[in-house]
Amino acid sequence: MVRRSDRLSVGSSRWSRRDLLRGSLIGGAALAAPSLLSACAKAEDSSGSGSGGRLQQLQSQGTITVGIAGEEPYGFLDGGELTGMDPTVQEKIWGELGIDDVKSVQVGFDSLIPGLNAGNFDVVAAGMFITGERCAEAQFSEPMYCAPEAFLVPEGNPDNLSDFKSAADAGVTVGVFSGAVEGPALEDAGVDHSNVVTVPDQQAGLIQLQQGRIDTISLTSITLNWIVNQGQAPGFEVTEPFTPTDPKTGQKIYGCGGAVFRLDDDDLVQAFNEKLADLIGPPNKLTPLIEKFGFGPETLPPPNLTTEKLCNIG
Amino acid sequence: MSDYNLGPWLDDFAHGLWVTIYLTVVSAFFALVLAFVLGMLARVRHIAPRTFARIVIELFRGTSLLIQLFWFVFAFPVIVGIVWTQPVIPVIIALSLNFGAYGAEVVRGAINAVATPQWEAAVALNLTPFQRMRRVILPQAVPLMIPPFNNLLIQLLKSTPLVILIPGVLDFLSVGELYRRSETTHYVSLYIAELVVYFLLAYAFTLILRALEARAKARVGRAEPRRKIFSFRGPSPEEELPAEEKALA
Amino acid sequence: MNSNWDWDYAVDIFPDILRAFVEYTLTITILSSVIAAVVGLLFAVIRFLHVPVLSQVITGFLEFVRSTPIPVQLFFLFYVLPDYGILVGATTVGVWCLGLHYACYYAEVYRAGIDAVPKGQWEACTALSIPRRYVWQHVVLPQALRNVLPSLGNYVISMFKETPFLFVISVPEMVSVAQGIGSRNFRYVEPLTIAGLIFLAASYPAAVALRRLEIRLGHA
Repeated sequence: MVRRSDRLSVGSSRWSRRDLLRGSLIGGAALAAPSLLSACAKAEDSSGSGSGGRLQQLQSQGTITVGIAGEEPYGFLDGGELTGMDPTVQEKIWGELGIDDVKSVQVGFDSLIPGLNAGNFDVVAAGMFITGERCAEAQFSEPMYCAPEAFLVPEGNPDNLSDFKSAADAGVTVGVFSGAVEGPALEDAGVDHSNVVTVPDQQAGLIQLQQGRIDTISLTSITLNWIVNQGQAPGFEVTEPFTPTDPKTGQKIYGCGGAVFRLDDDDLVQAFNEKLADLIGPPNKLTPLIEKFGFGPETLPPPNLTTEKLCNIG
Repeated sequence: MSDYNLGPWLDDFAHGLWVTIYLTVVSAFFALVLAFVLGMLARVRHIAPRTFARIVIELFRGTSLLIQLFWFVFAFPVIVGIVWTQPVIPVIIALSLNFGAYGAEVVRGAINAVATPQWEAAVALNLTPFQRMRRVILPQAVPLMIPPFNNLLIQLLKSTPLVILIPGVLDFLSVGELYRRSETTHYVSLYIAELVVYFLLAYAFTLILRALEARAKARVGRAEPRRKIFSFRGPSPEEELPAEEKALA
Repeated sequence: MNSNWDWDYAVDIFPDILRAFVEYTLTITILSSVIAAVVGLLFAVIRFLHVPVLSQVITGFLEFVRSTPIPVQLFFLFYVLPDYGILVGATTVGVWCLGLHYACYYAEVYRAGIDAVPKGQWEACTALSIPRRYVWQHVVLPQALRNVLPSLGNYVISMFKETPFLFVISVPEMVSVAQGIGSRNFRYVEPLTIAGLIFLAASYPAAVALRRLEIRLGHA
């Protein structure tokens, strides 16, 4: 006769693995359920639906989240504190619009736009250049600055680097940021594909430069000047800044950057642009704000160079 | 020797460590559930659920975890029209699906490895399929699953650094990278410290799973000496199974 | 967000992504597999022979490497080695790092394979006075390897799917190239999907072939 106690003893005494699984399934579900339910906010709730929604929403929240790439001096963390040209301007403008809390999220350059569109942050402030291809996928503010390009070279500029073509002629290895304009521009100018090295971030690039893995770094002159002035690249100097020309059309390509918003958030962009125009003036209130990061009056965008024009140059 | 300036960073490192452990444990839990569900589905006689399970398994085993991660974090919200309020959620989903698929193969293999006489005896004793699974097959299959699960768990732990690319999720390695960008001169000690921390975490997980395996084995009358729990990990999944199979027959 | 699939764009970027795949991802996987196979065998044999200090050191090394994430190992080798005078290119570091990492897994697989060779084989060789090296080369290893071929194959596929980690040391493998294209143009769905499909197209047939091999060897 099979007693109940016999049946129970087959494969289990108190807690069988199945019981454990079942218990933790219920327990885990109980723990996870609230967060899962709140995980999917319908897009309608968080999108401004293009007309006056987003700005008000952020104003009532009192907080805005900004995506940065950690590129000095555009937007970076200094001892944990968010600082740089972009955050300074953002804090000023959003402050005037009634949003005092500006949070930052630092990610790789490549994750900025995907993160923007996926809702991880509301605006990207990472020194992104306004290009035609990009304009189709996101909205740029009016340009905040225009920066020429330059190279970071060993003192004395042994390879005689002056512009992208010279890098091709010299056959040097150039470090660039992933997704930034310098990479393709270098290749268009004739630099060998294998000589263009993508570095994950600025500091890693500097280490590689100092170890001799790459011969030079190609970034905006503002960034490179900052790096040298901060003493981060002993033994290196910045070449004369240059404005690259498109090898196919011969036209000058201006590198002008702005903040990036989602295509839907028209009201946000408009409000931002109004305040920005006010800052740029005249009178120029922008430069005093960001001088300490290396942005002088010469980096102000030329008066009639609007985002619309830059988008169409492509 | 220049100052490490760890003070302000200790909190961040601690938080990063917590995120790493949290991601590993929670994803492992959901992966386990998925592994059983998919693994059992893949053994069902009816062709529709079996094919479905097979497709899911092959899809998530055949594509890179990094791409699955990107897809859930960035592409999925845009396609479906939602926004993740917590950036960890899609990470956990991607990790659970990927490792659940691998786990499903382990579950399937372990159940198949239970000696045929056991199945036959269960049928002869008039046990329902549910009782058969629960009282006879699974208790014997589970000890076989644990070493491969251990390896998968360690692999899961080792995959968590991928979140360095995901905005808003800061695991231990991500914090380390932020620290490196800020205190660039100390990268040597940083990386050595990171290696040691991950190793200790992996060893801790292995100890826990070894203890679970000992209990599971004891319950089916195949207890092992206690000493073995503390030894290092044994052979990896694929080749452990045949030997165990021989032991059971 | 303009999420309609843009075929022109997809076709435009496909060659770049494919090139990165062939030049880097595929090449790295093959080279790393060779390193892993050879070094792993070396590790396994040394451990089996119970060489006094070396075996324990190798066992410890194996555990350590298998328990730590690849990115950290990559960072370590890439940034720290030059300080000790070893300066090699990113791809070389990547290949060796992946190779050594998986050598540790291979060592375990070989061990199981070698252990599975029946004791009788060894005893017969002793009885026949066959020299040690011959025993290994012509009796034990062929049988051991036959046992574990599917596992080795599985690890090659695993390695293949872990090559994206190499982006952290600036190796332009396929996924990071796809990402770069995406962030250059702000359109990332097409490049990432293409990369995913290429992965699937490469690993699924390999997985199927491996399963056939398993069945043929009687493991299924």
